Amino acid sequence: MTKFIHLSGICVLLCGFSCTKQLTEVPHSFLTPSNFYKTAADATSALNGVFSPLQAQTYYQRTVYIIAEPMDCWYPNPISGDRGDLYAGTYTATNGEISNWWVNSYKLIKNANDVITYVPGISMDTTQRNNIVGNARFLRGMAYFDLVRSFGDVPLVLTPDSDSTSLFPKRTPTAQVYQQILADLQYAEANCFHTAQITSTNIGMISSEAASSMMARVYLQRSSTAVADPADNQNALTECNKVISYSTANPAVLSLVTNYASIFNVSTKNGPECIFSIQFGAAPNAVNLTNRMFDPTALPVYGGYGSLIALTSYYNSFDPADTIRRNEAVGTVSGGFHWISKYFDPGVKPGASGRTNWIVLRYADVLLMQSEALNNINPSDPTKFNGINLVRARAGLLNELLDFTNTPASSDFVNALVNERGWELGVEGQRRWDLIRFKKYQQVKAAQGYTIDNNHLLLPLPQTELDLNPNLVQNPGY
Amino acid sequence: MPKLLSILLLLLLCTPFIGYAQTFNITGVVISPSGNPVPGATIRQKNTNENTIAGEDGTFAFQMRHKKGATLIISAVGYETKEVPVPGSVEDAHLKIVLKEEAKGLDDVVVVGYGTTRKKDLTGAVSSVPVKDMEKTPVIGTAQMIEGQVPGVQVTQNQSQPGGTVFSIRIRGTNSINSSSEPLYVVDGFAGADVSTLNPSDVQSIDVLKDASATAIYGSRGANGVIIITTRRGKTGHSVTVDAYTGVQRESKEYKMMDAQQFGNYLITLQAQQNQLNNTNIPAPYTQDQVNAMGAGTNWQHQIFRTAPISNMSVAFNGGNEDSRYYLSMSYYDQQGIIIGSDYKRGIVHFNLDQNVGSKVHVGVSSQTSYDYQNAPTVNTSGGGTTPSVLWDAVRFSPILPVRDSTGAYTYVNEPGPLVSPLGNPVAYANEAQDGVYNLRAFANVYADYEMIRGLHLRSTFGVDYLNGGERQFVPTTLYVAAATNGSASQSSTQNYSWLNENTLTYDKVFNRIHAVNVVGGFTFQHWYDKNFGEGITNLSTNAEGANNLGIGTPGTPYSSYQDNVLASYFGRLNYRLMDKYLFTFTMRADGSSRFGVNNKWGYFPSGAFAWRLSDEKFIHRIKAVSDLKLRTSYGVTGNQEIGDYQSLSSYSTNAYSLGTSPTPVVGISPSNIPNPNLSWESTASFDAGVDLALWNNRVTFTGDYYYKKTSNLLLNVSIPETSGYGSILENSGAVQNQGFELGINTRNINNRKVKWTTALNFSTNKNKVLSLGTNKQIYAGDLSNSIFPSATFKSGILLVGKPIGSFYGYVFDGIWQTPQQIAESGTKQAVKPGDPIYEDLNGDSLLNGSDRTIIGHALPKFTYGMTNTVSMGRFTLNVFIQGVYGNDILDENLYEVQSGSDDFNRLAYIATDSWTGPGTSNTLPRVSSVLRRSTGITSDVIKSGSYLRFKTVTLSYDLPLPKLTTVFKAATVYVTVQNLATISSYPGYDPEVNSFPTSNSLSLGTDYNAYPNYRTYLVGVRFGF
Repeated sequence: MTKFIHLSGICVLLCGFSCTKQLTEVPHSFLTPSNFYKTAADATSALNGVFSPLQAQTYYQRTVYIIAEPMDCWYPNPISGDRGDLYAGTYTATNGEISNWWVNSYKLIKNANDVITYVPGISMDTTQRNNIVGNARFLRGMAYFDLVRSFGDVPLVLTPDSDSTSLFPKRTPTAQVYQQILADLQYAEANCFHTAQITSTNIGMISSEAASSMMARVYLQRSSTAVADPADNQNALTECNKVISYSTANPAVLSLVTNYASIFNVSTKNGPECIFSIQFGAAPNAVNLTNRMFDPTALPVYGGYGSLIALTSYYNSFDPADTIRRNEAVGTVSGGFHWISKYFDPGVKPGASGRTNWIVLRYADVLLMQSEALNNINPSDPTKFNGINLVRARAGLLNELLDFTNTPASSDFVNALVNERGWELGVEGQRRWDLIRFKKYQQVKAAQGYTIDNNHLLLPLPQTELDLNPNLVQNPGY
Repeated sequence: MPKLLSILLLLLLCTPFIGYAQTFNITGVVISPSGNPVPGATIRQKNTNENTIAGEDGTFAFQMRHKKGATLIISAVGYETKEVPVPGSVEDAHLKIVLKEEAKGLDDVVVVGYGTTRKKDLTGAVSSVPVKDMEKTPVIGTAQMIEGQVPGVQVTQNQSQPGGTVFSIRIRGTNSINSSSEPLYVVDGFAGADVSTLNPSDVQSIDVLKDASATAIYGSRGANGVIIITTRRGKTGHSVTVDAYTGVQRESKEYKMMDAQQFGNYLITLQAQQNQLNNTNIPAPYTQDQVNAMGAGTNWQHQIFRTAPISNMSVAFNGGNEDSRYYLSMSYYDQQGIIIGSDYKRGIVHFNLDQNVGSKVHVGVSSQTSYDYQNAPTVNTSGGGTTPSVLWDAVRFSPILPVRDSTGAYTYVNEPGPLVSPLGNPVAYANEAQDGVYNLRAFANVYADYEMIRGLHLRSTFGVDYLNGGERQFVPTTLYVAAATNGSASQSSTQNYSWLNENTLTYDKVFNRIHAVNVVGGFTFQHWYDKNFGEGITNLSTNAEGANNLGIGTPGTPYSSYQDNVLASYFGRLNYRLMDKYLFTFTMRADGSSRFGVNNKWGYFPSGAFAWRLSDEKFIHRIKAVSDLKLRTSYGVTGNQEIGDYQSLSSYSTNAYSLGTSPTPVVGISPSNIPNPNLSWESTASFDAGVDLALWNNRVTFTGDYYYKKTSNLLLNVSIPETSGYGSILENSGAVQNQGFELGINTRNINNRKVKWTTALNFSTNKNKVLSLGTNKQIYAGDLSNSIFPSATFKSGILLVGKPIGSFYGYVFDGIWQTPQQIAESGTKQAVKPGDPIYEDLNGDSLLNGSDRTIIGHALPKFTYGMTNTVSMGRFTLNVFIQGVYGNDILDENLYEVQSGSDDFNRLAYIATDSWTGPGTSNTLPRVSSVLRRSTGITSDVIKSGSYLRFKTVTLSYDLPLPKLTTVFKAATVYVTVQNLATISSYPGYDPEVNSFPTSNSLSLGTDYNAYPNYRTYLVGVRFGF
């Protein structure tokens, strides 16, 4: 019996000693806050993590154009479901793509907030560090810009989750969201590397010029809203001019390329026209299924999903002389339909996802924005024709440049801009915002037989989000 | 020799009397040890056919011609057979024969956690699988041995791929939402062992622990029930057993799809309807003349189904002496699948040894090594596009196209697009692509038992369960599905192992003959490791090397992971028996798990039980019909620690982006969750009340239980607003209850010398109800095919407080829109046309949207049952096993494609003839060009009844008359078996016993999309003992 007591005593002691230590979990194949944000490499990885959600189908690989593009260039086949509702203006709070848009924007913001909060604490080269934080702030600003122009007032979350942050934020007024966007972009403009400084291995990161261009876009969009600042157009012009003068000084890295088609050609992507693009590539990079969304199913050439079909009216809207851009935008013909061809990638097998980037900002847009800002500031300023005419000239329309003779009124110029942006930047994720900014959305949809009430100029907040957060209030009309 | 002489003498003496045929009357009574008569006992004279049966009062009368030296054999159900010599005197005799109650039954030993007990002493709800009765009905795995055999246990075969067959086992319902609801397996004392490659022939017993009294000894792993499997151990003497069967399998059902001509006509109709709807004028892909010339075309199902052989061979050696006993078995199993390209092979060596070291120390080992290899045919996938499904693509492929063209090359892709969606040729895929899965497992558990003083045993075990598995996949460049990747190949490997040390002290003692005590206490320590690695390539430069050389293409990002977790435990149990009538059990376990949050490292799991052996009370004892009666009740708390590793920690996970002029993947790292330092086990409090009753000398035995279980602290991914950047946070909130009745009845219906007929019946009900979902109003749950709903934001079901788990959630089908007037009058704002299905606008706002969804079906059955009838006549034994479920629904996602929902593929033959074509033509099948069902989501017209009754196994066996053959054999049986002989069910799919998405969590229930179908098997087998 004594033996037994001894034995069991030893056993209990042995286990007691080992257990406390053994029960502590030690992760082997992932990082925790205790061993991250220590080095410059950590900062770089964390920034890559901010970029990463952009490649998702449910964000900048597909949802971006399902949200922004079913306007007057193409229609979804069939015109039903989430995509059909976005085309017909019958979207509701349960639309899955609207939910994707919301969810992934905040996912990116979450990753950005982490970088913006923790990277400054890393001991490393200051310029590099500020560049990384600048990149993250650009992306956060861009995401909030997407949100504010989609939904209006949105919760403004600027710090990583902690015990002190609320999981149930209220909507922040649009004006304040815009201020934050501009603050982020200003930081990015000041701290991100200039285009020429970005090394070849870092192509795809945010440049100071990207921040300037994005700011121009933000100012212009805000100028069309109820929270417009009187200086918005002037500020937009200033930002455009910064980019244009940088281009003049550094045409090799930033300029209007002569060959329009080369912008969308996989072998010449990331050329000097591109200011910021979401990067895709052949495996092992993330591939981009955008080509399959727009390509017809016909084999042996295409093998796409045939999901999104070009509108005949879009094809017909091109000036007969505008063959370069028409061929690039709607050059594909199959099964009696025109198809969007900007994203066709002949270098991959039929049915395979392509390698094309998704272009967020390019130089032609800056030129067009400059024209727009100038017209908004002073419609009689003749320099407003410079930007748009550069773009038209590049498209082969040298004989059809604009001037006060053929475009006398400010409204004529606006109409010309709306059309020009449709031809130049069609299916590049701008159309919904352009049409809303120019107050043309309802008119365009009415021509297609769809009535859009004013409430539908803003998207509904996702129903799931309203269900979870009692502090959120739905937009009117939903 | 003297015997012979005396017999001769006797004959001589008797000679004068020959012809008188004198007989003696033997009368008597057969009674039990307690003095009760044993009615129905058989009294037979040895070495003759003379026999009689005892009456209700146990008395019998027997006439015999030769009394001298004669012996009577008295047998009765529930009693040991007894031989009684007839008294040598010449008078008639009256005998009083006392039969001992048969040890079988009440004295059966049941294995419980950390010990064994006699069945009569059990306080908890424990069921034993009648393993012995199954020896003649071949089964492939342990889960199959349990299906339909034990009340309170529901076994579902989710799909039937050879080697990949996935069973889910629910003991008394589904307890968990996000964690596993599968029971804990204990093999030869090793808790958490893998049972997927146990050879059924090696299994000695399976005991299912169901209530808290029985499972609390397993603490944080006991909540889902415990299945204790004991493998065969050596016995003294020597024997060899050979067990072999072979047979064929065949699909038991197929979809009747359109043939080529029907499909051609269908496409013409479809194109015409689409032209009308879209105001287009696109010509049909085939002219009427072309269609008329088509004939039947290709039946693609016939191209992939085959009659597939199956065989198994086991040899077991068993033997030893008092001090050293061994059991050694080897088995080889070889099954081809009913779908081309699928097969499974398995070899197992099992070795158990028990050795005495002196009189006080016993040591031994249980061990098994197995290797299995599976060729997976890529069936259970979402199907379509670049993720093919051999079976489903065969169902959907155009019958107009041949398997191979005139040059002998495979048809590349389904045509004609865009009317028909592209699909790769499934026959080409099955033949050319490869997906091999291999597993090498090794298991060993050694023990040493030291009897320190009489009744006090110290037992230590040390065991390892090791798995080295992997997979090699290869898709050659020639296939359509390789178009995007230009061929792909990958390898992955898994290395999982756990080691376990257990130390227990057991003390057994009876004091003053009325107090019997059994105490066990101990501690255990278990450590699991899980390591994975995988790499894939695309863009193959050659198809010649399969997946064996990953250097021939463009490498993707490799992945790997390494996790481990630890469970340390103390436990104790006290069994106290007062006068053999009043039985008490108290159990306690303390579990410390590395998985629990820092604030909650240790969990405590107590239970108590009481049983009263009423039949040993005098007032019951007097009732002669009652041979056993026991009342049991128990209450306790058990846990579920299957919450995953590292869940409480804050973690950063890896993602990727591309940067650079020539894009290069870069590693991204981002925060992936909100930590929860309070994370802990799920806790199940359960109550059980049961009765065990045996009547008429165990001729009828009955076990009934009522249970109520409430599981709280459910681990939930509580949805939080996406503005946090996270969709959810992991919390212990939420509760669910299960309650039910379960009955087991065993009867010996006929028991005489010529015919023996026994019936075993079990019946279980379980009602599940969600009690709390934390702060969530509802949780949408249940996976769907991402092929049918590629970007679905909805799920197949919903969790709502007050409703059961497995509630399908969707729109209510209400016929077909017949006319434009009907649509106009309804006032619906939905864009519908005549021929579209009507889905009810439940909230009356004229819109059809998410708020019009409701619960449209229940995946959990109202009751489940199993019945085994065994009839023996002479040397023949017929065993019929029926099993079924009742009252459940299945979400038949297949109907979205083969019936109505999109225009893409071949359809069921009746779609061509029975679909809506104009007002009044159909109120059930929409217009063929209607896409509304699929674009709407989950609808009640794809919810089908899942009730079924299945003749699971029918076996006819014949015991060979041995002495006439040879003296070598000790036993020899031949048998024929049919498995899945017939299934009575209204379910339209391949098989109602199905669940396509079983692995993701417990909540994907009763969903059928493209599962490997169950099949019918015909076997012949032999079992020899030497």
